[in-house]
Amino acid sequence: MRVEEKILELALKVAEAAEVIYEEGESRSVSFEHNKLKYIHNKSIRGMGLRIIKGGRIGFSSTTDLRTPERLVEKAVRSAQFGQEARFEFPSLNKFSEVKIFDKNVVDFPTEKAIRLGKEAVNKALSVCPDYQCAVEVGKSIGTRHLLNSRGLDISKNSTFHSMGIDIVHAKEKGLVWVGEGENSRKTVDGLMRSTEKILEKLRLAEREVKVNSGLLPIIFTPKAVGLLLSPLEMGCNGKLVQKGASPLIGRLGEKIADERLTIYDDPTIDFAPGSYPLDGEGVKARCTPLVERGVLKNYLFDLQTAGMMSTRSTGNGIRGFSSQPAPSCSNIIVVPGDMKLEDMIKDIKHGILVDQVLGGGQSNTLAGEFSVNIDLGFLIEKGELIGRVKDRMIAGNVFEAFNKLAAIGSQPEWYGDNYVPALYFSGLSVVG
Amino acid sequence: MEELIKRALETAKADYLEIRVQEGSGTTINYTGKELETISESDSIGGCVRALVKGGWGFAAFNDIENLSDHVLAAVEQATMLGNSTRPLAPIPVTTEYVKAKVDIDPRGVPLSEKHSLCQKYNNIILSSKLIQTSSVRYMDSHGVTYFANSEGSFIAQETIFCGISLLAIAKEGANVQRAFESVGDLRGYQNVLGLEATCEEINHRAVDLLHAKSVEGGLYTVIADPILCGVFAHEAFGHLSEADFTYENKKLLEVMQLGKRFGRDGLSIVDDGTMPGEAGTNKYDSEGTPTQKTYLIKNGILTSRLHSRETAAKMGERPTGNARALGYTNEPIVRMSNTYMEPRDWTLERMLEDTPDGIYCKEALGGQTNMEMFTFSPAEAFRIRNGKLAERLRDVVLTGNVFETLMNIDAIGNDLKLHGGLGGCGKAGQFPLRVSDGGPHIRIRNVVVGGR
Repeated sequence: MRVEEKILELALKVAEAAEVIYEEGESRSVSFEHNKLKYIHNKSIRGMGLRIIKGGRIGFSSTTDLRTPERLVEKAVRSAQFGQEARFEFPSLNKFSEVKIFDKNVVDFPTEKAIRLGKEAVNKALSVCPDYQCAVEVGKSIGTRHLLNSRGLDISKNSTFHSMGIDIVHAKEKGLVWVGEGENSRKTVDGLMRSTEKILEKLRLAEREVKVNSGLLPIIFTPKAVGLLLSPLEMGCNGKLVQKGASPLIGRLGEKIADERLTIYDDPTIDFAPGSYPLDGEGVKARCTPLVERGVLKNYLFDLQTAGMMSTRSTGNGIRGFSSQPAPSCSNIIVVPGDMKLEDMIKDIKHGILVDQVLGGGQSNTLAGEFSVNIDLGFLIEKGELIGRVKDRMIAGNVFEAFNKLAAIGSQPEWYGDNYVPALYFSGLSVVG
Repeated sequence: MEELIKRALETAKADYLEIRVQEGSGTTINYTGKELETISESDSIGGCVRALVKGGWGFAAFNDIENLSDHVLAAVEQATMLGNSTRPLAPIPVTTEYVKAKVDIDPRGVPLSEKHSLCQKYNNIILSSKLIQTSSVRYMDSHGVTYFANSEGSFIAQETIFCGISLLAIAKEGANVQRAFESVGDLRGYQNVLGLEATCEEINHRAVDLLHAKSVEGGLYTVIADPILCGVFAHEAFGHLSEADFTYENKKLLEVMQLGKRFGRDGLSIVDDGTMPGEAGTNKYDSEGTPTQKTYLIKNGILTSRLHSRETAAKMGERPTGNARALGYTNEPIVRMSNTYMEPRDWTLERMLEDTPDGIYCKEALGGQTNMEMFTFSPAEAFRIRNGKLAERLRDVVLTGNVFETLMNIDAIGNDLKLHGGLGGCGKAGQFPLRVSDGGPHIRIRNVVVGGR
């Protein structure tokens, strides 16, 4: 009998229902620092979480010390004395989405190849400018998650993850520029050179520094920068914040909250996408959930307990690791593309800014949709041309207001983290400094 | 454990080899709104091996301590794949020591029910006003012993007891949502989290007041920062620049960060000190077994030294400062700050205000970020200063600026040094949150860019 099965059995001697999550993973990464190959990291990590329902209340404990399973049960029982009243039943059906999250090629991806790709990227960058400082990381991981509960659910899934990223710093007499790009997926990625070239192009554009006056300006957010604007919406749609009454989107389902061209999904069922999963962390089948459809707020995201408290159903967004209880969270956020190419957006602007990296995201009152960020990497647009780098300027506004001031949505979405998003073009946002 | 680790060190040969094993347990309690979201005690054990072979580093982290020797072999093998040069490490003394934690009250001796009642009491106070929509009370304690051994013959066991709590009130009126936040967290013990009733009331009132505060108008302002915000500035805006791993292989940055260069006016001194009893960033030895120390980063306006690991110290021909810290057993040590603060001088806050006809008074920080050149901070509270007096409350204030210019623009330094830890911590290279304390006195900064609409 495996240790997770043994713990379930032990837990059921003292509790009316129980769930065990066991995770183990092997990851390996090759990293370059200051243009030089420096580290190989290997992590083989495992751990277990036990959630029980005892006397109608939830108890939880976790451990990475598998030598003493009784202690895990004892601590979960102690926690259940105070725990929340359970408003759900563990799922009994072994149902999951057929999404692909495992790629054997990731497992077989040789360390030597990671080293070679890293060297090629660094050499490419140094051939452009020997002063560049590159940091590269190529990583892969293979994991297994085994979820089982007292109602008969018993599912084990393997997954893989592959990532390649590069950061280049250019230090100059006065200040420095720091640009990062990367790709990650559940299947093998191969875009390190593409990322490097993207950065080199941006560094070239940043050579010249230009001044911009404060005022209301047309602004384009690149796909990399759009994440900043999405986080207030993600928080607003989080079922937990809705249940707490903290979301500004409470009671607004069915209401138009954004430009009608805007459609946004949470979708864990895209093959090999970074945030995909066949079932969530408590065994609910993954599904695609529209958050905003043609500008209208459609859904909040729930896990089982929060859904139970709100008398609704889980959307399969109970996301967790072994050391924590499930909580509603986004999987992959998909913004449906529009019809304007990034080049055409730039051409369309007489005087404005293209924003690629920001500093200070999440520091303002994100929950209310406020943002106020330093333009870490941004370019001045004059008469449809990128002129040079904008520095020491802040851009501020409210996301929920900005979503109603969209000039255009980009036609070429890109993956950044768990977001698949196009560029967004706003007619006027406030720039200060 | 000592036997197991020492035996494993002999499994393989490398230029340098170190093993860390961490055993620990902890408690988390979290109230969000009316509901107790989490109450849980957890255990952990894990370890890591770091091997240096001909200049290449191999690192292996794991939970199966019983297979320690296999992981030593794996780390050496990985390092061998990379090695084709040399990477000297600055010498440190060989040490054998068991460091016991000293706390006022050991949280392990406090029953879970008592910790729970405390959180419940605080939460009820925060929720007591009608305009408070929701709250968060997060209690955390942890006990850990880290065993460290290296191939040079050191064996150090360090015990750490951390305890802290964070308190958050969220007020809401229509679509207007405002937060107020306080936290404590360091190595002093359970006493730290007791007696915070008044603080809970204060954040309750502050969140409600913020609903009706005016948004700040963007522009250039004179800013007076309180000790906590001053600490965030010392840490985020300047401290990270003095971490030698960022500069040691970069000629241009070395020019920018040349020791002896002027960084501020005469009164400006910034210190990192890993030896301060009870502070969140304190350790007797860092994660490489180097004793921690007090290091002047800036002394009287002049750049004096930087923070080092053994590797960066050797590379730059300087001495290790005991700042190689690893977040946990899954991470390798990298150069980090410990307790970072600006030294106090002679201004009282009263005089500083009187001397500032027009400006903004900023307290504490909700967050801070830097890209080594520019920084942004969002104070938790801000008030307009008019005619040398505190006037109306402001909200949505975000400060930004160039680090070097801003340091030069500090023209008054207070006499009221305070340090602050908390439940959060510092993030770098994916290692977050590392416990640190920051601090300073009240300071006045000229010409700060304030973002607003």
